[in-house]
Amino acid sequence: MLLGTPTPDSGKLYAQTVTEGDPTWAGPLAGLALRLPVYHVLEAEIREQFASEIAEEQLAMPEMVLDARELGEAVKSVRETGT
Amino acid sequence: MNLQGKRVIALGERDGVPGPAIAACARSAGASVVLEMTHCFV
Amino acid sequence: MSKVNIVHYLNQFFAGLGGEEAANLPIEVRDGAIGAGRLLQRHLGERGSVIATIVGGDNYVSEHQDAAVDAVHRALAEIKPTAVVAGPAFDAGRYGVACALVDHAATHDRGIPSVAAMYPENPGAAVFKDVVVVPTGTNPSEMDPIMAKVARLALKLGAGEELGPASSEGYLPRGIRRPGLREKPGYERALEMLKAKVTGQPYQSEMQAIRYEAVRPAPALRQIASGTFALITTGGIVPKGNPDRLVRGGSKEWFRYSTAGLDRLDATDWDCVHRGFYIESVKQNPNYVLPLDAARQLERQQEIGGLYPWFFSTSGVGTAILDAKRMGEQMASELRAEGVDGAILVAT
Repeated sequence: MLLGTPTPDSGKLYAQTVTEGDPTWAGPLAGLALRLPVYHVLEAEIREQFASEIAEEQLAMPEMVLDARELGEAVKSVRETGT
Repeated sequence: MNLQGKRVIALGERDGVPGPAIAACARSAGASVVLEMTHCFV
Repeated sequence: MSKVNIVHYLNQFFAGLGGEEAANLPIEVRDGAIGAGRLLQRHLGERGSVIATIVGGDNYVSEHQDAAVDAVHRALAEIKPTAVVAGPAFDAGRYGVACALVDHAATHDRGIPSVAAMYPENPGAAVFKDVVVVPTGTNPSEMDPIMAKVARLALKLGAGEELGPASSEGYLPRGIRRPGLREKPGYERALEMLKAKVTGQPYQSEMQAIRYEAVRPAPALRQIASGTFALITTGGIVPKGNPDRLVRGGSKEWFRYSTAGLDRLDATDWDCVHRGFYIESVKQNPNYVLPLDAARQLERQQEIGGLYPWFFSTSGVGTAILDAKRMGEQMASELRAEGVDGAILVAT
């Protein structure tokens, strides 16, 4: 799963939902641990795999306003520790 | 995580990185995109 | 002990029926627990049962309050639960208000005990004083620990038990005071508290005092005769014509004006816009509020080393504390960068 969430909180929410299950219990993935590998699209190890022209064209705008490091750390944290 | 040859779900957000952008980037890395969505987080 | 039968109120999102696009859903009743209610049921275990869920679209309830409350009443009259749970709404304002309405209808109007949960600053927490509200943060990720607390209170209320004080039971204080006996007389408790306080031990005040922020003063200046000083005013002194449009109060901006080559502020070149005092005398002599004349005298007499060639001005009446803090930090930042030793903020 590649996420494009704008905040660390929402990133964690999506990441938790597809790994351990929907932590808000609002939807169908509540109590269901899918354990899917999930990354933020701006995480360095993912971003560097994109063809540079395409990445520049598609991500330049979002990268101006989003904190890639913070977003990546939030999703990585859920991937590695569950929270 | 090497994206080459992987099947990706692109979960984008209007205020973040939208689905089509994630999908285009993922394809450029050799992944195939099986689902592409753009949500508005509540 | 018999099972506590609970009706759970949820908005469209936490019921799993959709997001904003489903916010116009009118009140509907579903069997059993749905959406986040499933987690409530988990925490209730064998001791409680979510027998029905009332779902309200946030917009619907917000725009049709009376109809929504009527529908809730009809549902409660028919289902006859032992207790009602509303939310958690976190910081969703429309949802929080809806939860308050539901709980109030249940408890105040029908005598059914109820509990809600939301962020303390959710407008719903202020609608009715007597609703029991479990405080939450703003992130729905904490649904699990919050539901545990909500379930505990719901079971307690459903069993007909009285709730203890807010701080021990974990709900927002409602300003309800009950007379009771404490273990020790007041003078003993006071002396114990005093002893703890003077020996630096922790203690718990029985009265909640409003705390004001303690602002530590800057260290004393040692080298006044050799120091450079800047004049700052919150008295709204501006050049004639107020070119920067400084507001008369509630300021969010400050401006700097040059004093280079000036011995005093002349009434022909300067003005005062402050709305908090009688400004006519200041208009005739701006030095009353920005004492450039007195400062130059100190300079000539070598009682201060020198004056920073700019003074800072804003209108400090009804100014928000956060704005004042920010402006102060900005002013200090410039003065520090310019090597100024001290600032003289002249009171009005």
